[in-house]
Amino acid sequence: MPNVQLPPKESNLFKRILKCYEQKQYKNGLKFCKLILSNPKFAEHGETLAMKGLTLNCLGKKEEAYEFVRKGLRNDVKSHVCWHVYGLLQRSDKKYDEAIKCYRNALKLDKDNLQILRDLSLLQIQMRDLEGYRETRYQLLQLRPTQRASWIGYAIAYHLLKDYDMALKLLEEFRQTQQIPPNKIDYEYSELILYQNQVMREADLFQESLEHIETYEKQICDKLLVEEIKGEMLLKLGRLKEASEVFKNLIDRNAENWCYYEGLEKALQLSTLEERLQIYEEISKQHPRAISPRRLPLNLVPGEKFRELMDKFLRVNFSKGCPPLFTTLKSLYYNTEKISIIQELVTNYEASLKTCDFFSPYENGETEPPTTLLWVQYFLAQHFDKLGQYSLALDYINAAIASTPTLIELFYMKAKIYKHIGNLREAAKWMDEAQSLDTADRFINSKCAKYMLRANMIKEAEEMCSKFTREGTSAMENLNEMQCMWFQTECISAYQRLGRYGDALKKCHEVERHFFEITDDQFDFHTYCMRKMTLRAYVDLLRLEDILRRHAFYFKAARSAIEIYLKLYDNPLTNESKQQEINSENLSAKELKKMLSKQRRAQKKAKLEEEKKHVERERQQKNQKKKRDEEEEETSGLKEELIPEKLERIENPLEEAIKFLIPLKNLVADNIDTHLLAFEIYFRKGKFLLMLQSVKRAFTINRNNPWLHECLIKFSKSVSNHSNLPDVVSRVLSQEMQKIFVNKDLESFNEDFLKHNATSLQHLLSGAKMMYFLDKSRQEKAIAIATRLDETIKDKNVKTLIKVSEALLDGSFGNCNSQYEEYRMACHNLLPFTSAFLPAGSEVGGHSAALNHTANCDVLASEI
Amino acid sequence: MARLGGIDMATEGDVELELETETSGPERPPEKPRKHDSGAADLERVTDYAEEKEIQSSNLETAMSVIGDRRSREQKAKQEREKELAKVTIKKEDLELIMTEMEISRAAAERSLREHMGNVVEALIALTN
Repeated sequence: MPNVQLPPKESNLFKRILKCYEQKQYKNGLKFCKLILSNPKFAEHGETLAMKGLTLNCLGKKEEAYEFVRKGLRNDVKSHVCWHVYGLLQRSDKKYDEAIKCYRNALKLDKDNLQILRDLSLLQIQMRDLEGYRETRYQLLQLRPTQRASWIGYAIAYHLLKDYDMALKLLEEFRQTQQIPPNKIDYEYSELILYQNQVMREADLFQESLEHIETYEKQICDKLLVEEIKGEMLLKLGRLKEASEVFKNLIDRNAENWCYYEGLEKALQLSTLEERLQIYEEISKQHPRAISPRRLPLNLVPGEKFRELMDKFLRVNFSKGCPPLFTTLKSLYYNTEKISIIQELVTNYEASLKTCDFFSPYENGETEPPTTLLWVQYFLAQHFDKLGQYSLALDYINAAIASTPTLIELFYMKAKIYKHIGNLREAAKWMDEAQSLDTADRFINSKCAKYMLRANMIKEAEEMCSKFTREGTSAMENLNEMQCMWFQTECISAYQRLGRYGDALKKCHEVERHFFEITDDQFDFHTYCMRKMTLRAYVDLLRLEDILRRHAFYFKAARSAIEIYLKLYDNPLTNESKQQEINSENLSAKELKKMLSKQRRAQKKAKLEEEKKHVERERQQKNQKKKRDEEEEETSGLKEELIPEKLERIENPLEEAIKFLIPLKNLVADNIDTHLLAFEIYFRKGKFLLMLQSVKRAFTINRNNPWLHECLIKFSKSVSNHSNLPDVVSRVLSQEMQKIFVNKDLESFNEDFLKHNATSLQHLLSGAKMMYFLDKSRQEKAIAIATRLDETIKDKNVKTLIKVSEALLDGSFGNCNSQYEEYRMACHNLLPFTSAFLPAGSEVGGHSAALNHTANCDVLASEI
Repeated sequence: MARLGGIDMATEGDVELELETETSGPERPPEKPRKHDSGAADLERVTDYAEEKEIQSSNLETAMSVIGDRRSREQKAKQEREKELAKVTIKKEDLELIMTEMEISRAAAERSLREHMGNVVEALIALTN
């Protein structure tokens, strides 16, 4: 249908529609659309229909929106407005590639349309198409050289492409146009200067940066930053005397910033320890209440001087009653000499304070208050916990509790000690005790929830969190809404330990969605930050978003997701699985039938309750929706609901795993686990070159890693078993594997590994597993190696011993139940408090190694 | 939400527009009692319409010409690189092999093959690094 030109009256109305859209006055916009479309001559006017659709989209009526926009486009396919609008619609649905196509179509019809170019540039920077962004920004600059944003946008494009020369030229040109008089302070101008300076520093133009900051320093609002930049640049230029002055001033401003001390040391370049200590002494005199000048020397001095300084430091802080004292000193605990000095000092204090109220029996003067002994005992509990001497740690913390049973920190520490011992139920119990002492403290409440999750007490954890979450929704839902990822990642691990894979995967996907949202949220800031001239913050935002999935929360969720998908690939759940999982060997047919019907009834009941809750929730949500204004935009991107049962019966678990893997490969390539997880996936997919890539990358990070060793052997075996690989692949494999295996046969490769790591239980375990894998007849020898507990072994700790026992149970050594029992008893003798090694039936809970869990654990438990 | 305008608002003179000069439009509801809404209202204002600021400077011409020069140099360098790579002959089955074995896009596979002068073994070794 040919485009009908609107006469002046309607044309006016159309312009008002556009303005209404810009001003977010959607109801008015729709009214004007109606005025045009109700006229039979223009009822099919493409652009108006498209605008109506766009406005409807902003009111949340997505389906209608698409209808109208598509209709409008069909009616007027040569209209750049229609294509533009279609692009905007796609963009609001996060279909960015589609949107870019629409914009490009629109530009074909109207090459120099400013608005379309702007929208295209936004998408390009969102998708990080930096070269495209620069091109578009150039066009915008040519069209509107008088607009601020054109210059800024173009400069930023060059900055991101690391072309600092161009970026600086542009920024300087732009700065000159600003014409701010030198005595005027304007925040936006200040930000521009600081941004310009940042680009100079990134380009390593230290001299220019220093001159620049000195020229404009009067007009910069952030005075502290100016000093810090000066200090840094003076150091880089080797002007050490001036640098030291700057850092001395900075320390005067803030004596607790360790960076300033670092800078000062670099500037002064003092050679002897005495001179360095002298500096800290002087600063401490000038700032008597500062901790850093007293703490930092402890990092530097050895032996007797350390004892002297530490003695002073400890006494002051114990008297004062400083709870984080141990945390402040923890970083010294890599040095055995320092550890033993600290231990000697503090245990002596304790002995002395118990008898007389002094730090040592040879003193007089003011006695110490009773709390000093308390803090000393608290410190000792933490100290021995760190050293792994758990029963001693418990003794001290219990002594402290006996004297002061109302101090939250003590119970918190007691719970931590039990956690380290490996008795997670006990740990949760004591953390509960801690939080009950102050139910208004959200921190301890959250810690308690976390400890409960570690003990697999998921319902209790949710109840604990619900004390602080919003009324009207379940705690789980609210925590998801609030993007509370620490809780979600702990839930993932808990569900994983319990074998509830569907629930775990649901949470993994929820975490992934948070990261998606955070990435998506940056969109609006591309225009906003440039307008407000907060360019440093803007570039920081872009850089953060670039590496967002490097965050530990994503890594945890991704790792768990991959592990679960691998398990589901190896042992897929079918609809019959639920029945098979029940240990039906010990039940007669009648009993089995009874149990199954009970189970079905319980499931029905649970389902009804769930439905009731769901209906209630829906009703509440409907009420809330009615209250909201019609004008509010609905969150776009209807997300598919996550259903645990569906998730754990997914058709292609490996592909799902790869989706989680890719960001890890791109962003966390320095963590060996990324590559080892990748290997496990590709191994099951049979992709030999990707397996090769994974082991090569892992090998460069740490060739002696135990898990890597297992992967290498499995890999090599698999390659030799597959004789029909394409020629090219075989050539690549043989050439590259040569560098790793160096012509050794697998048995020798494994033997060498065992010899090289004879005192590390972790490595021995892997070597032993592979010994069995390569030759099942050597089962006895393999188990003997893995279960060694002699003196030479350095890492006989809770984690590693549990790993060995789990391996004995999961088939890595074939059938070996009697050896497992023997091992469990031996470990129990070594670690009497650890739940995992307690005889069966004594303590419920603890690690899943000792229990045969099924997905119906909750249901069955209700039968007992 | 993006600005939309087939016509640039600031410069058209012949059409009468009743511009509401108070930028907070008549439809904004009266101040609701403050609730803890985690800053949603402030976030909404991020996407509000605002006029682009203009520069008061007449001498942009030299700057623009410098930029123009630089751009043409960049374009030329890029074209040269592309030409060099396009000269390399590559085999279709090598391309397909790389795509299947390494699970990468056609474009990435092709680039890698061209950069290694069509030698598929070398390309794969580099890709597995």
